[in-house]
Amino acid sequence: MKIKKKVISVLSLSILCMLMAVFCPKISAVKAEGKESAEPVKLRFIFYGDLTSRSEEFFRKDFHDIVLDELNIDLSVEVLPWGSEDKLATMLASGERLACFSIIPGSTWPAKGYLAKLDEEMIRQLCPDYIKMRDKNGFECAKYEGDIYAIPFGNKPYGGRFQSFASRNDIIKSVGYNADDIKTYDELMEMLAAVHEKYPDMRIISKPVFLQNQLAPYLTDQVYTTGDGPKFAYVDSNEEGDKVYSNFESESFKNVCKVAAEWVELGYINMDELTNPTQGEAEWNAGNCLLYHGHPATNINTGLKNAVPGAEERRITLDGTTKLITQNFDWSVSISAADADHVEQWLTLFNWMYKNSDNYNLTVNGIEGTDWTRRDDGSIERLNTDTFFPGWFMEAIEYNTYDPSIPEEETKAYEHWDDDAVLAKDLGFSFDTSSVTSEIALMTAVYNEKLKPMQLGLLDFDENYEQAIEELKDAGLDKYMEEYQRQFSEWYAKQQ
Amino acid sequence: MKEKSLKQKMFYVMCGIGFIVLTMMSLIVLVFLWHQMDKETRTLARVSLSNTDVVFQEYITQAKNMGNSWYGSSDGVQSRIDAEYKFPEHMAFVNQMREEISHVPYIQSVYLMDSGPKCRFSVGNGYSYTRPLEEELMKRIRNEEMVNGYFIWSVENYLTSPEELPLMSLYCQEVSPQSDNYTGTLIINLDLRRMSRRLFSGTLPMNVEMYILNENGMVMLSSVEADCGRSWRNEEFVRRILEDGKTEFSERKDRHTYDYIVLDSSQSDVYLVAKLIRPQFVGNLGGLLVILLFIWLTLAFLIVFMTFRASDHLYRPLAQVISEIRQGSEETKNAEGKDIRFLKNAYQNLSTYITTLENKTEADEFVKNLVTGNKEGKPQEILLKNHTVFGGVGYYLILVSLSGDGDLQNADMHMFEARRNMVGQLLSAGLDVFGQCTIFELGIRRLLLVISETKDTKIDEEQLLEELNVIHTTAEQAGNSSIYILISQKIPDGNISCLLPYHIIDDGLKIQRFLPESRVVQRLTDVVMIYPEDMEEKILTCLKQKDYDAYLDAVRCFLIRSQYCIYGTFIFWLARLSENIMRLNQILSLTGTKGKKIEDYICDQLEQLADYQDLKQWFTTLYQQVTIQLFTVSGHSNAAIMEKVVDDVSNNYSDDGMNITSLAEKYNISAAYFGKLFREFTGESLNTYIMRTRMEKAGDILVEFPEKEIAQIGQMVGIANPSYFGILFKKYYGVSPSKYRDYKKTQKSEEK
Repeated sequence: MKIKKKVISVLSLSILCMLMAVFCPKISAVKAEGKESAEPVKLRFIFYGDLTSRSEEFFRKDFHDIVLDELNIDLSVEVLPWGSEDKLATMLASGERLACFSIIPGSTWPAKGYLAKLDEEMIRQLCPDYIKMRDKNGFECAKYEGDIYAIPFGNKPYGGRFQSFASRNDIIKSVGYNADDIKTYDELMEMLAAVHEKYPDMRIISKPVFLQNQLAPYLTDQVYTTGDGPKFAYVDSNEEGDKVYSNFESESFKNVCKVAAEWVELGYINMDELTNPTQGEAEWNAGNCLLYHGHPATNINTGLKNAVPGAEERRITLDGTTKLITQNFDWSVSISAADADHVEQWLTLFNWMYKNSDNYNLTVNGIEGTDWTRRDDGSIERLNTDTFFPGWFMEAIEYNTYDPSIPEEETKAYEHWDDDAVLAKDLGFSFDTSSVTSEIALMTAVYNEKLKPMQLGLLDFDENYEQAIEELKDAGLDKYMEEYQRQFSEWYAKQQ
Repeated sequence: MKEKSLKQKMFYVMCGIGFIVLTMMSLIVLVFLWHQMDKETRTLARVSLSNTDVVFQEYITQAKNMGNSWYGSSDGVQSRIDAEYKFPEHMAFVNQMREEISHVPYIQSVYLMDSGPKCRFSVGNGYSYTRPLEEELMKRIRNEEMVNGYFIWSVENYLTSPEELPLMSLYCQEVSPQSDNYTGTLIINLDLRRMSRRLFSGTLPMNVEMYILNENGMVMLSSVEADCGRSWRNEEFVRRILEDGKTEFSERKDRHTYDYIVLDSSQSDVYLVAKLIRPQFVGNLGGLLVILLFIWLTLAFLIVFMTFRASDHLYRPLAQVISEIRQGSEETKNAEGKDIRFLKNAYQNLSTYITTLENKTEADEFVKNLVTGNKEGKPQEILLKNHTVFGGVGYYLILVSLSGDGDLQNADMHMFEARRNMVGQLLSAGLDVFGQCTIFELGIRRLLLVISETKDTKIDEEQLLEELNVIHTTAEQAGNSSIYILISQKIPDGNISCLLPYHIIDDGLKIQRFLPESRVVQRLTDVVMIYPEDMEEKILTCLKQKDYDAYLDAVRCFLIRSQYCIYGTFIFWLARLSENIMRLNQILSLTGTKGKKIEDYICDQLEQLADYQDLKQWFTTLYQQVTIQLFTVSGHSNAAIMEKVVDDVSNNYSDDGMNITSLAEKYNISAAYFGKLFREFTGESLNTYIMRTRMEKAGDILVEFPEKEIAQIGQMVGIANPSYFGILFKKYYGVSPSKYRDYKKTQKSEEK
């Protein structure tokens, strides 16, 4: 009798299982359908840099799923190599729906109608957490003709960017010097000679394009900075008035070309700075480079130490350098005009990224346990070197945690870095290039073919300078300078 | 345990079988679907491989075209040949190359060598970084004899140090570096991981991996990026592809089954391989299915076995019944093992038997009521019901009786039965043409045939009689014994009772036995006969004249003339004749009347006579008495003989040959007279006496020897045939021997 009962129960159980197997997928399908009533909004974000397989996976799966779940946004993230502005411009021009890195001052994109106009009131309503982080810096840097075209990211010290060297102090120490003690050009050259002699295979400098800023006290009395692109016009923050100067005709440029040529002669500058300009940065990151461009966080940066055991990153600033604040954000993000109907979702997303430290950590450091863990003191320890949304881009002081190995005085110094900095005279000025677009294109070609090789010491200055300036003028330098002067004077007058 | 009903048992069996069938079908469907899925996956993989091949070619072609165009451009030529060439002076060319490769992320770098060969410059695209490669490249180029070609190698990757960066270096040159006319080489380094990512990313399911291998077993591209640039020459599956040229095969390794599908690329010496990964349990699905199948076959066997047991249980009583029937059946041997056929036959026999029995019962009922005259309407009712006769049309009764003379003298019951049946068959065969013919058995010797007209047929009486005569003659000749056939007058309607006509012909039959010869006689209801006084006178005359032969002739004529009157009258007439004969010589007082009137006495005497021979003897005796004043019967001496006979019977009842003839012979007295004497002495006929003695003895033995079988007891009392014994016994006691024994047994135990 018992056996019979068992047989019957086993039979019923099997039948039940079959029924479950047949009907359950349908039930779960129904549940899933019920949950998401509205269709997720598809958004496409493009920034510069490179993706590793982990960071690709993070954007494709982890981050995507969380954002989809919490904001009902189906976000795809793509990365273009640095310097892909032209490609991005083509995408914007062809009406693709996306949001991307942008620098509004000096950009032609707002004028061409590539970008969606943003309402400040809307930003304040939708992005309270972002605004809290942004605080006093405001949106001047993201405006074109009084309208906001971008959301500036980052809130941290910006003074003296590209005006100092970041150096491998462990290497310097190994040849008997100390980065902190190097204050003059001669001391610098002495140290470089010693290093080059001891480590002939080591690259001396990455991104020598910033030498004009880094060696400024040695090159000129004027105070201004240049970027890694062509800078045709500048204003001297050291003097009163609205006078605009031509950079490539300046003493500073001429001197840096000569210095660079000397460095090339000494074997300090590599040829690939022209053909593969980011190679140097890679070598710095790989521990095979002595100097890199410095920034406010150089002395507290532990990234290199993590990648290259024993590496000590230390700033070298020549005496007489004026710490200049030329911008109060890193990069901003613009929304393409074609995607204007998704501005609300984009702003919601940006606010969500800064909503709390959890979201911020996810955005910058990835998944806890997989990409990072928290140390006992609450600071974050990365478990891999993959980058997600870059920390320098996102950085907000209030969410910062520091490696416990960094002395407190260094972190304090970092947070108060801007205290003794000087605001650039043209901070907040945005040059409307629409009237000189073709001139800029022609001048840029001259820069890339002649001036940049000269600036890096790779093209003979004496032989080529006059001709290059002539070509520059032929390309429309005078018109450009005139226009720049006019606009700046106008702006400057307004500021007064 | 409670006994399950047949329905429940069948339910369990059907459930079991249904479950097995369902499961087997599910398994078959599962296997089918799995097979289809596998087939589709392979097809998909093949298509995917073809697509990948096309795209891969496109990538390579694009890179080659770029290289060729740079190499052959004026800047390209100048940069290689001009000893004074400095690339910063030709930045337009460099920038153009940079711009072009920036759109092709898998191009890691481009190196331009002069005839040195020495690197003029290299262009990178900023996606991946390595240490400077020019020295290594120059070394490798020196060994390359081809104008266009590639090699795969790995270099240290700065970005994700210490990982190796697998590169595929495509080179183009006008002539080999060994040649004197060597003018330099352009090398495009393809980042295989990035190319793989672009080629495979997001297009492959989780369980599929794809590789592109070259003829040296190097992994050019792989959906698993880490595998790019590895040499798999020693891998088993690569060996099978390269050496055996297999295009589709499976491999089991590390708890997985791998199905490989290989496509020969349209590029020479390049193989595209799709690897379908199945976990072992899926890989072993075949084995799993075999195990499942085995389990289910075992279960199926068990259930079938149980079903057999159940059916055995179910059919055991039936089988027992069948074997019991077989034991009592002659068909046992013929229908061995074929229960159903056997049962069918048995059933048919049984039903035939029952029908016969029913008919017989009805016939018996008819005969009983006909003979006794009880329930006057019953016989007719049965005839009508069985469609023996029909209302509105006439019918005849034909009574047939076998005489015990000729061959049938001393015949046993079976012989009479056989003869009776033979006559019955003759009659029904001969008379069937006249109408509806039905035969009833009235006894061992007698048959009653009812022949009825139907609505369509009328019976021609003359022809019928003629036919009857023919049959009579035939039957008598065939049997060599006398047969009496009496036919009634036509009864005009089936509704008219047959009782009266039957009694008339039955009456006639009694007369017939006294007639000198048998023949077909029709007895009519309203025959008025006058006593043949003329014949009496002639007999008396013959007597007086002492002419014995004439006397016998006259008696014969008297009998024939008297035959159509009723039996009572016939006997009375015979008595009257006898009396008148006796009176001739006043012999009446001598014979003794036992107080009866003389006519009645003579009638009694006459009725004791069996047949014509007895009657002839009677009249001969009368003749003798009258004519020669024969002896007077001495009661004393005859009584002594009869006492002996009684003793004889009591002692020899077991002798089955004992009858009136044998006893009469033993005592040297004629059988007829012997019978007469015995009857006078004992008051009953010798046959009856013998029978009574035998039956009483049989009754005693039955009770005394309960272990003895009925047939045995029959033999013990001189009746060898058990059936005949049963019939006689029942006739005497009113019950069958076995019932008699049971009854006595019960009676005894009750007395106790």
